[in-house]
Amino acid sequence: MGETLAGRYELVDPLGEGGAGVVWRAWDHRTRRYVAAKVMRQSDAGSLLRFVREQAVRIEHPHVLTPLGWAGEDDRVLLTMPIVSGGSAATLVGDHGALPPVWVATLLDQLLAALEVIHAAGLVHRDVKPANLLLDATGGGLPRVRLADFGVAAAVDQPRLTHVTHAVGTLGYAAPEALTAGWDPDPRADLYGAGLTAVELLTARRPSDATDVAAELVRAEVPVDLARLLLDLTAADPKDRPDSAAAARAALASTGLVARADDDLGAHGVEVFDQLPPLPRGWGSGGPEPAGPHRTAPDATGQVPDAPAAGSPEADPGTDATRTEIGPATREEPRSTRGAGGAPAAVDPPAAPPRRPARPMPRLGLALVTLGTLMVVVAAVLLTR
Amino acid sequence: MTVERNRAEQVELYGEPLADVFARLTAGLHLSQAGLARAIGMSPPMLSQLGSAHRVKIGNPAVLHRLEALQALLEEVEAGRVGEDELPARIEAVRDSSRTWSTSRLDLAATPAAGTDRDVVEATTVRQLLRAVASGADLRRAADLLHDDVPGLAELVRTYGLGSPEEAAAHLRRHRELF
Repeated sequence: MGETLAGRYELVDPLGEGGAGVVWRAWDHRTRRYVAAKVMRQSDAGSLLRFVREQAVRIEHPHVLTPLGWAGEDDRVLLTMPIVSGGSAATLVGDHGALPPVWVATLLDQLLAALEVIHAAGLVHRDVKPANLLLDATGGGLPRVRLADFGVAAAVDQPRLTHVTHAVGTLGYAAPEALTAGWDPDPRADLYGAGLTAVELLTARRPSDATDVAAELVRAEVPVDLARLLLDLTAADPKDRPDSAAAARAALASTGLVARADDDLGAHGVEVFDQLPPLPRGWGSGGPEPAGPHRTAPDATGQVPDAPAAGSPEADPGTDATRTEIGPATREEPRSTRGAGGAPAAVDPPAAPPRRPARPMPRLGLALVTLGTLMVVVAAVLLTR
Repeated sequence: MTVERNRAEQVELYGEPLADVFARLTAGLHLSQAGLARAIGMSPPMLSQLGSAHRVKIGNPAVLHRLEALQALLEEVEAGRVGEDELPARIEAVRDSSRTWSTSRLDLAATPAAGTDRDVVEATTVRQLLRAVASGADLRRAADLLHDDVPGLAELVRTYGLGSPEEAAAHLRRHRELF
């Protein structure tokens, strides 16, 4: 018998480990279906804040993956989401290498459609990257993107939740302006992330501060219209980017590369596999099997075995090297000492320092200041305990 | 039969069927199939497709690079230069290694284990070196290009790049006296 949380969600097997907890396949006894459940400890204030933000996102759209609900019990909270079984765009690149332009244009089109509604709702995602583009297991057919992980999404005009000014995002994908102090969330930062994501899908190379996007696109022989749009999206100055996701999407449509049906994809051998492991003993498609002697779900504190990514934007052991290369998948860095002693609620546990300075050079200094600030904040937390 | 043709193409590209490569690595490094997939950055379903020769080629160069790094690690284990207790950390290091060509590095075996045939060791080094810089298909194309003008070089590329270690060692033995 697996552990049941909140009298409702029975944990079946771990699907992966994310930045803010373990993602489980869970059986929802109330709705009688499997869900992905991100289980977090309440002691981690940083994750809790993200959790609050994430569960507040309620957008109904075919390309946006939003939480189903949440529950808290004792020292743990869990956030449930629909299970998405095809891994992420990062998984796809790990399996196939550089993707054909028609695939990338199609994925980018769906991503921009998702960003359109998110931005229309007054939100900025702030962490657009391949590992957050989850995919349905559509095999060789038309892919379906579900933009996930709203843990760091922010309202454009909403007061900050903490006194510490934050820069969030994943190094390498974050827009240059998003890494400067006092930056207010701007939808065009998501367009930058979308552009770099497309570049990575086309080249199978992770972006870094040394990436010469134009040279990479030429080397990958990307069609000129698409390359031009990606250069616009990844412009350092937000003013040089398309005005909106809708405008970028229109430019993308005019390249003629976006597939609308299976046949438009051509025969490239690209396939979005079903990444879900088989259900453990005692579990069937209809839930727990009473005939089974013992169900084998381990308790929620157990180690996560080798399991493919599914249902979780962060759970992508195959190809999401972000965590391993630069610390947590998503970093929240305090940028100001203002309020450091007062409300350090949103500071993540100290992470490995960034592997490289962020995009423009002056940020090396900023990174050092940040590191110093982080240490002060951590000290403040320890002292006030 | 498609699977047989695919397997033959894998031999051309990688020197042997990928099923053999995967089996040796899982056994020698104590990894599950899923653990191996995770270490090289490929999904388990894709690993299974390649292992069963339903697909021929590893599409992502960085993944191939990590696979080669694991093979090099296995050789070190077999030569007794890496202890079993160091394995988890070494595998983790391969998994975390950078995904770009420019910064990833393939360590060729540095010192031969005692008691091994010098010809075999040296031929293997050349073989690894060729395969580190070019794919099987590249080597074959290069050999074809050289064939008319410099047949000796074409044979060298073909023997060391595409042949078995034994063939390469025999080639070296035949030519050593000319050094």
